[in-house]
Amino acid sequence: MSRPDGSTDRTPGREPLLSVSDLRTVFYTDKETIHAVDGISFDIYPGETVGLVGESGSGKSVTARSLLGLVDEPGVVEEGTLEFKGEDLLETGWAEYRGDLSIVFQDPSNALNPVYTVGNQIREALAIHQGLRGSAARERAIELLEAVGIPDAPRRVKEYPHQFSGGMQQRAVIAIALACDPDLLVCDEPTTALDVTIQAQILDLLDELQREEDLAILFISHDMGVIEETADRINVIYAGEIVERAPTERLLAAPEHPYTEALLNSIPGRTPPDQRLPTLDGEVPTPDGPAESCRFAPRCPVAVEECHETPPDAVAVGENGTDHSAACLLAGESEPEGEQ
Amino acid sequence: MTQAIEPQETDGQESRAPLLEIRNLQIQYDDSSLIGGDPPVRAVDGVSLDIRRGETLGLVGESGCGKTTFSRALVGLESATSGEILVDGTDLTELEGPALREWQRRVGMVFQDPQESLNDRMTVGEIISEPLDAHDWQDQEEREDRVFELLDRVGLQEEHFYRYPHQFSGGQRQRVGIARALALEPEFLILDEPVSALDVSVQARVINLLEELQADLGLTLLFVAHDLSLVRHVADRVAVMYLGNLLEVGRTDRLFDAPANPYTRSLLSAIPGSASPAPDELGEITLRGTPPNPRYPPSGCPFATRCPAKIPPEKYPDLSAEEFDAIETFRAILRERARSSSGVSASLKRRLGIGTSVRTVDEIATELFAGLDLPPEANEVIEDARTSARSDPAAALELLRTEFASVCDRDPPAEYVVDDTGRTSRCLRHREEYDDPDEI
Amino acid sequence: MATTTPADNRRLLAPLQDDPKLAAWVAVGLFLFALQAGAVAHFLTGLVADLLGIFPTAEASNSVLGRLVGLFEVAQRRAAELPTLLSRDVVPNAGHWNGDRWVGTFMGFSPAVSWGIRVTLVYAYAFTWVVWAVLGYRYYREQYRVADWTPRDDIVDRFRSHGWGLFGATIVFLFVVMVVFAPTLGPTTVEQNMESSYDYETTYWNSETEEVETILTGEANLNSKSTGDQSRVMPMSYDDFGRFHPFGTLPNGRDLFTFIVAGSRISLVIGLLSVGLSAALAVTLAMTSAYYKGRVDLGTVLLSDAVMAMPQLLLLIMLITVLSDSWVGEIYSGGFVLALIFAFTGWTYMWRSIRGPALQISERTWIDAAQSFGQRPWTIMRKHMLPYITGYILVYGSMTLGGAIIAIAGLSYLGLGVAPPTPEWGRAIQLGQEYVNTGSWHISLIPGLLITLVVTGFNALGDGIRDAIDPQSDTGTGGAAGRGGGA
Repeated sequence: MSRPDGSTDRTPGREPLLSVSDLRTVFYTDKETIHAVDGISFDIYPGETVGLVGESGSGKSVTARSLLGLVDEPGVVEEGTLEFKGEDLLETGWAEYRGDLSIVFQDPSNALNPVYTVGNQIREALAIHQGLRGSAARERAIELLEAVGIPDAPRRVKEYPHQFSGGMQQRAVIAIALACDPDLLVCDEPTTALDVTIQAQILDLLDELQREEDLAILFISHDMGVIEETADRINVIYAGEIVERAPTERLLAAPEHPYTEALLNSIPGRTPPDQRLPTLDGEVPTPDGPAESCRFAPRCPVAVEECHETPPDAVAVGENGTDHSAACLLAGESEPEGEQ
Repeated sequence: MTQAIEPQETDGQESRAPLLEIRNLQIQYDDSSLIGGDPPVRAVDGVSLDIRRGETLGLVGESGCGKTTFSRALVGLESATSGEILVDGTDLTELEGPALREWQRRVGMVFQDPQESLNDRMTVGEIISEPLDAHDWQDQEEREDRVFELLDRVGLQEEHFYRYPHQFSGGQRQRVGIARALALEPEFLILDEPVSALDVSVQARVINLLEELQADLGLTLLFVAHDLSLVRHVADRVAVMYLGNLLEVGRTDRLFDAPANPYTRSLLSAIPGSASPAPDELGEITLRGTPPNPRYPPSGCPFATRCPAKIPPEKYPDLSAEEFDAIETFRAILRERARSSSGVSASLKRRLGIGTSVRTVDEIATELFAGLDLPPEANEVIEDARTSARSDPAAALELLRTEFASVCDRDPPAEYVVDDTGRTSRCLRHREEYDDPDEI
Repeated sequence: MATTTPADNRRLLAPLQDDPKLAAWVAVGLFLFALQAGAVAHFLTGLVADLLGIFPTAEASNSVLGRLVGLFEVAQRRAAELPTLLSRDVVPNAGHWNGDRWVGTFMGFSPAVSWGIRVTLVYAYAFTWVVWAVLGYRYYREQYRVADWTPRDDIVDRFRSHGWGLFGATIVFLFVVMVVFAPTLGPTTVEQNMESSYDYETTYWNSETEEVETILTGEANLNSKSTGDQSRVMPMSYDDFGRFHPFGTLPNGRDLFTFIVAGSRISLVIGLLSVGLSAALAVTLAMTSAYYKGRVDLGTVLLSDAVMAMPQLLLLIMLITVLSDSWVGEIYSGGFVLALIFAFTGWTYMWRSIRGPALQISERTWIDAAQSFGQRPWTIMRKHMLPYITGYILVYGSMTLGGAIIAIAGLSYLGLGVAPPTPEWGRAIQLGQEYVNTGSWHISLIPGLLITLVVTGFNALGDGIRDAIDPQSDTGTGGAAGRGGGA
């Protein structure tokens, strides 16, 4: 959904739709305390797509669930504010805004109830969020299925989820998410379970819907390629923290954080076939305590001694007002030599 | 044009002797219900392929295309319905008992999900030595030494011997899976999506390990994957599978630089991101619909129902692409209808006049063809089809099929050699009389 | 030696020499065993003799079998002479008051106290074994096991924090100890008090004549009946002959506690035998049908449906009646036949319960992996499927055991199954039935409560094991629990 010029509608007069600041979600188990989301802040403006990219275990799904108030036991959203349309969701609760925020999960077959028809499930959402019932709801359900590109919607609406293919199921899930006419759609790996050709269809669909409805989308994925195609701005998440944030093209062209760089390098397509793939040793650590150093330092190829002692703050590294920041002690200092 | 060019040997690749020669392999699943019902699922539908000694063959395709079934058949986990898999002149599909076990000793298989493929009640040591135990490989002490050697080989430590799979990360577990596959010193390794369950940074390390192993041990690899970027990185040759058929087979660099088959082209163009291995001039091709049900494969080219380069019908050569597309969509909808209305309850409904779908077929047709200026003869046929669709969608479909049938709906494409390295592609557009796929 | 091979490390005695803690542990184990070695030998020799005696030819004393039986019977008598700590002779409770003090009881305590000491000693001894085993396991885990963690550790940890499961385990422990030490626990023995009560004498203090007198035990029983409000010997009291009855007496004057303790044996033995047999059948069939699927599975479904369609209770009654006079019917007072019938009709329920898990396991990729390198089907089932099903067998087995105990009691309540005079809990209930609303309410109530408690214990243990194995599963226990309640 990148506009050709790479710009977004982030005009100064416009208020962010959702402003997340210092979000902390902690899981308390018998054995350990996991700071799954550890102080994340970002804004989403109306009509834009913000990407959240990270490896498994980095906390991206917990972020999505925290935004919608879906964190299950033993997790607790401990701190932070989720300012949505000027109100802090953590204080007001989600009840009032349920219809304004929707989520699309990774696996469509789990998101649909197998014993009800697809139409039934859309109508249920319509009844809850828009008070539509009877024939009005039936017609709207068909419209929605058509809107998500399901051919022959009048018949399909009467079918059960198992009669849909994976791609069609995900379209139906999106239709349900759209039934409440949301302002913000959180897509948690919506295409990971799908094949590339179907993935392309779904990405096209989301793009189209966004343009038509002025929808804001938080797009979460582990796949840099998908994020790159969809997002206007990208947040890179590592061990519960956002380590770098930049407009898409800027991030791809000039990553400032060594983790972002490593992540980009490990995409096989970026390495010529006859060369060894660049690797990054180690695994994403489980954040089981407050950060006392840079969490990436143990794996970082350029870490200095200080990195193991001081947790880095995000520093702005963007030129002429670009919203680009990186949480690295070395950001903006030693990096230029790397770029030469 | 492209056919009838003798493959030329451009490097050592082609001269290597085949380890496996697969000839017209078919694998079908019957739902084994006692009362005969649906036709069998044609998971693999006539595949012929050579796997050469020492090469890495990439097998790509979407989920459900039969690539996993095909690779499982090579170790005897699936039984072939017909066709041959020849190894040194022996047909694997005929093997049983000790002879099959002897072959299984020469193959190793690595599975997609390392969480699923390791028994989590066994220690890593037990897991890796199990193939050795199963084949009574030497004595206990040597087996233990061999396991330690394998652990070292795949980059794990000795102390991991007594750990359980739970205590490992995904990447390490997959290393255990690789060590197990290597235990009996196989010559051929089948990798079924070995890294698709892993994170990118971990993926790279496993891929590097596999490449090292191949170089050191002279292994032949069959690398089954859906990630084309990855396949481009590891494979010497690539086979593209769709609906149980191989649509394109050829050298990796050639196939990625100038994909010949419309399906390969669509697949490549669908890869998102700037790191996509697709050639730039490919543009964006978004396929409509999903692969057809392998129980009811199309009668002509398997890809005909979704093909963006489908040859227009002979009767109406002047149809614009848009018009042809509308007709194709109409047909796709009718096809769906015909299938769902063949049941008892549907026919009962029709007889009782509760036909719920009558109205909507018309509506859809109106919508589809609105704003299109079909040639009068074509328009007439569409009108006829709309009328008969009310009572009998199957008849309407048949009418459309005979009228607007493309050669792609009729003739299964043969294999055409498309370049001087012996790359083959199955597409009727390679015939003399049509434009090549890349010109569409 | 320059190099130590793994084989050297496995030598049995080597670690004992350089690990005093282990040596102490082994010594404690041997000491505990030595205390009861005589009883174990007595039991084993008796078991062999009994097993050999089952065969009809053994009755002829000059046959090879007959001689063997004789040999083991002699050995059993020898073993009985070995001193054991927990025998009735070491802590006797049968004694009499001679007007001045208790004679013949343990250190002159009253029979009740002596009996209490013996019971305490038995349970303390059994508890020591448990502590010994737990300590040994912990020490093994710390010192000897190479793996620092195994999946079983998690199961054990989860079970340890499962209150309901621990309650069940405690009840089952108390019950099993009761079964094992049945002859020692009773204030008197089955032989003296029931089977041949007229061959034994009871010495007592006659308070009227103020003299020590002797009476045949059978006659003493006749004068200590519990038959309503007038004549009754209530729990925790003495009868007129100075005999202590922890649970009171039966309507025929026999000791209820001895009756129940002996009855617990037959309940558990039949239960274990039937559950063991049906589990073996169910597991074999479940694994085979899950592994091969298709026709094999279908065949097993048909077979089990056919078996399930048989009216279990009618079949039981018919077979018991038909077989009661044959040699099979006489084994273990008819208990063996009962166990066989339970196993034959019961495996279907257990098979149904584990078929699902077995099918699930058979879909796991590691089965494919094992097939891909040519592992043999039976090895795959044993190594890759059985460990995952074992948990379910324990769960359903412990619950079915409870059901079997109820069923056996139910049958003997109806006068079927275990033949009198062999004690059985159900018969105690039946005997006391007509006195339930009188002063002798204890006869039916106590065995009834015990059955409920023991069955609850087995079910709780099953629940605990299930939660420990699979913390996510909160599904019902299926048809296995409480089965047989109708029989």
